[in-house]
Amino acid sequence: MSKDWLNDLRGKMEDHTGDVPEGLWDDIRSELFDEDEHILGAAPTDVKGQIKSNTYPKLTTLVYRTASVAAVLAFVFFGINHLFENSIKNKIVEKNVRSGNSKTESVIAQSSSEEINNSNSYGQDNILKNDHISKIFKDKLVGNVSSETVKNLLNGDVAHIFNSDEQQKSLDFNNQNQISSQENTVKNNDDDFSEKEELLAINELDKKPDLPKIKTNKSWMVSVLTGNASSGSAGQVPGYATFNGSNMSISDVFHSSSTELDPLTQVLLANQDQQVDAKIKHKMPVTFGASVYYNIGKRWGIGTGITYTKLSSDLHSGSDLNYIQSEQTIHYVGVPVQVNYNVIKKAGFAGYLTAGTLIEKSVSGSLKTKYVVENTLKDETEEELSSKPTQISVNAAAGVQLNITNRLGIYAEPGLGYHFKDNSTLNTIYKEKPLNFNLKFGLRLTLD
Amino acid sequence: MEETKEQILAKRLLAKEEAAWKELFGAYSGNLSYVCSRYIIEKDDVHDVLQNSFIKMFRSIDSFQYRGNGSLKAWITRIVINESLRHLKQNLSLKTDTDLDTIPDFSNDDEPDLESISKESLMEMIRSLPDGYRTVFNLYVFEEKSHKEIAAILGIAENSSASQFHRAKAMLVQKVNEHKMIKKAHYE
Repeated sequence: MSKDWLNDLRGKMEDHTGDVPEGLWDDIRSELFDEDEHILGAAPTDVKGQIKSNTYPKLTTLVYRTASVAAVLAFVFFGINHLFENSIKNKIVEKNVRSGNSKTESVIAQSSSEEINNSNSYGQDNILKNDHISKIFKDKLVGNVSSETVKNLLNGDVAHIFNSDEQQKSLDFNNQNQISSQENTVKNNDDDFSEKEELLAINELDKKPDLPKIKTNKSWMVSVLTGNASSGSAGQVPGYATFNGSNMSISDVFHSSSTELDPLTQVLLANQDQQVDAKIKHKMPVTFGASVYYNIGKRWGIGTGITYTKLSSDLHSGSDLNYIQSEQTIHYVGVPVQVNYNVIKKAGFAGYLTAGTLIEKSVSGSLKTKYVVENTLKDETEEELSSKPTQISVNAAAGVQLNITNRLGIYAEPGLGYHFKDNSTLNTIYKEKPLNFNLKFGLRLTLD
Repeated sequence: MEETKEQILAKRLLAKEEAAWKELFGAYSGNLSYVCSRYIIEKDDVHDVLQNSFIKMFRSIDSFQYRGNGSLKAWITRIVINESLRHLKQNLSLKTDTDLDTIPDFSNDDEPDLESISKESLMEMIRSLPDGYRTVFNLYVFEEKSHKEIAAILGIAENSSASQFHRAKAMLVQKVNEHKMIKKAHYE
């Protein structure tokens, strides 16, 4: 049997060329020249092992490992979450309880401070308490119809300030009905406001899976997310407002009727002839994050980590000189899980798509309120927000990364986020506008 | 003695000059792609194997010794073949290949005429051989290895290499003949 034809075959095919796989040179170049140190640092004898681990790692093992890290983080996260929920619930600090000085109003003052002491747990169930309180309030007032101060306060001024046109019923008796209508108005305002309040720009923050790192594997990445730009938002409603809606209707109204020294009362009185507005200004959220990321194959990767987001908003109620200034600050800690797909990977540049979910838990929130009359700070209160919602969101984004050096790169990711409803009373932008655009950018450090 | 073009390139490669590596890639990637896809069928796998091959060249270029024209090409080709074989070994068992029973045992020793068949068609035929057959056939025909060497490389018995080669050759002859028949029928 002759082998001639086989020799012919060999000769014929010797200079044959095949189609070079697409993008091969780019991949090789980025492997060889973008990560110079990496490669040069490797011992040549190691080549096999390294190539191996690079291309055919035990993917399943790695996936499980990453998944379990994410799971552990999630458990820790929810554990903390739970603790917070139990310990902080109903813990509202009310530093501003004051008693009335006016003798003519001592009865009212008494009842109001009592009421305040007893109702420390208001927050979410304020409205119920409201009714209760208003009843008491009324009862007490019946016997004090003649009080001049009460008249001044309630008869017209307050109601006027609160813009209570709609709900104001025809008034027979002055104080009694005045008070109840005031009560209504306040509620009204609060309801009104709570809707607008949803403009609150809480910004979701995702972490970005990032840099390549790790000794033998170079598939791990650690990233630090340093910034998060998203438009803040502002809203304006007529009248006075509070962040937490009903709060004002209880304590603040009480104060207003208890004494003329009350800062709120002063503000109200000072503004009685002016048009007042409540303006909410949401500051740009600030987010920090750190993440670990693992490449699955050349193009896919998954990552998890931890993020911190701070949200703050300002509420300005009143006129320019006499106003109530509130600052609401909420801190979120979150655990993201992201999947990345690298579309383009070239020297100094990468383009990718990413999608994932982020579970965020509010770990603390505070509300500072300042009362300013004639540009002078009259009083200041601070309370903790009892509501600690857990916020779940999903997101998708397209990102680009530019490498400054071999190890350091900047990335930017415009994307979309969708926020599921949490079950809290805290009004955030998530509820009003669950779908929003955001832009994330940060630094990505590549470690060997 | 003046340095050949290949020698100069080899020196630049050793200096890890990016342009030199790009040149090497430009000059040989077509042929290497062909060599690789003789062994590896999946496109993505060919990509991976070639990428790994170049990385390996890059890392071990200092062990390359110039021994006349063509030695650079021979060296890089060898690397690609080694990488291809390693990929094959990892991804499939060469021993449990297509059951031998389903392959008719030809004793057809007619020498097929390859003249009229395009390289592309031949390539298709080779690539359509079962993995084990194809690997043995490639090593025997193109790399000119003996069955003993092939057995050592693939970790199979020497007579297994011989019989797989025999069947591969028979299948290829059959494919060539079928191809001609079809072509003939086409013209008639």
